[in-house]
Amino acid sequence: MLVDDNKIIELFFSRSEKAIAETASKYGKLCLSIAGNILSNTEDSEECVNDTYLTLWNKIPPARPANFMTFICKIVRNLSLKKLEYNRAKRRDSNITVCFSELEEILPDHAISKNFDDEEIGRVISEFLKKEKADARNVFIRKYWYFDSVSDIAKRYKFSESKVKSMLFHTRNKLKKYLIKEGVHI
Amino acid sequence: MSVSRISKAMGYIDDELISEAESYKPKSSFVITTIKVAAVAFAACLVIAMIINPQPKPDFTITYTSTTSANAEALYAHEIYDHKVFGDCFPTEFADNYFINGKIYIYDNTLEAEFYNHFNLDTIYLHIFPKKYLPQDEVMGRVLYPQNKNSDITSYTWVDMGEYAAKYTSEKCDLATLEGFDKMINSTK
Repeated sequence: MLVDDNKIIELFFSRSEKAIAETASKYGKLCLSIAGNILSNTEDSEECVNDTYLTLWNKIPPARPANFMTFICKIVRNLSLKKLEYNRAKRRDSNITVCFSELEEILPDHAISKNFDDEEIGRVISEFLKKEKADARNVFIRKYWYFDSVSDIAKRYKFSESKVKSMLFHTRNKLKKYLIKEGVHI
Repeated sequence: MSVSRISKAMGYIDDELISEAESYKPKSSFVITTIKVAAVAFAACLVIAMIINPQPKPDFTITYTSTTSANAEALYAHEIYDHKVFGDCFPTEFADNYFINGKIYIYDNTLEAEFYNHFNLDTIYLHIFPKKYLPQDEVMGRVLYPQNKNSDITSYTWVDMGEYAAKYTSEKCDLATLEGFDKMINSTK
């Protein structure tokens, strides 16, 4: 039986090594999937997931995350992206490269206003996504946050692949217009 | 290829969006289709039901029951002529020796009034209502007599009042020969 998130956090606070075991049991698969989507390499992915557990151990305490699942997903995502940058010279053919190029169509680095930092752009994207229909919003997040493939998204939400592609295309275009309207695009 | 800024910025989207995408289950298209089909079928049934069994029209054949509806508006005789709907339809003169009996009731866009004659003990009932409720087989402008010999009324007539129709019903008298009745039905504003 899976342990409640609050109990896992308490285990971290009491410095019990069981905290790592319970986290791995509950979220290990999810973490491995996010890292795998980004790195397309099992060894690198497992390394990132282990680094995630270590990061959790170091952050909790003092941190007491309100949403433990999101907290751990963010850590594994960031660590995986860093690892990807580190490996980038030999990783040009990975799936994630395609994802990035799709997003760069929306807003290439040179077009981003210097007045906006990454966190502010994230806030603007959040605002945009909250206004979108639930199907389109969640497909977009699965693709560009979790880096799921189109076929995995189609399976998860029981949509056709062409429908997923179409939703992504339209949401990307709408986001581009929204970012221009909000002044993120220079 | 480096990780673009826009991709890094995606990492800062709200936690609630991230957790929603993990637990989200779209509404099944089968369920949506079923709901749409059920809604259309229900609407179709409703239309058919209305065609087969149209909404009952007010029964103006029962003319001599006083209105006791809690929703009725009760007016005194002098107030009726100021009424924005029925003020112009209400007679300003009455058949000889008839007087308004009690209050005038207005309910469901319908007016109901009684006129009583202390000499012959007859009562004339007046109903005014939108013409669309007028039974199709009724004739306007002629005094009519009930087919049923056991009826509690003696005669009645329908009067055209533009958008409205008025029905005058006498318990005991023949409206065709009642003195002053012509004057009464022609006395509206």
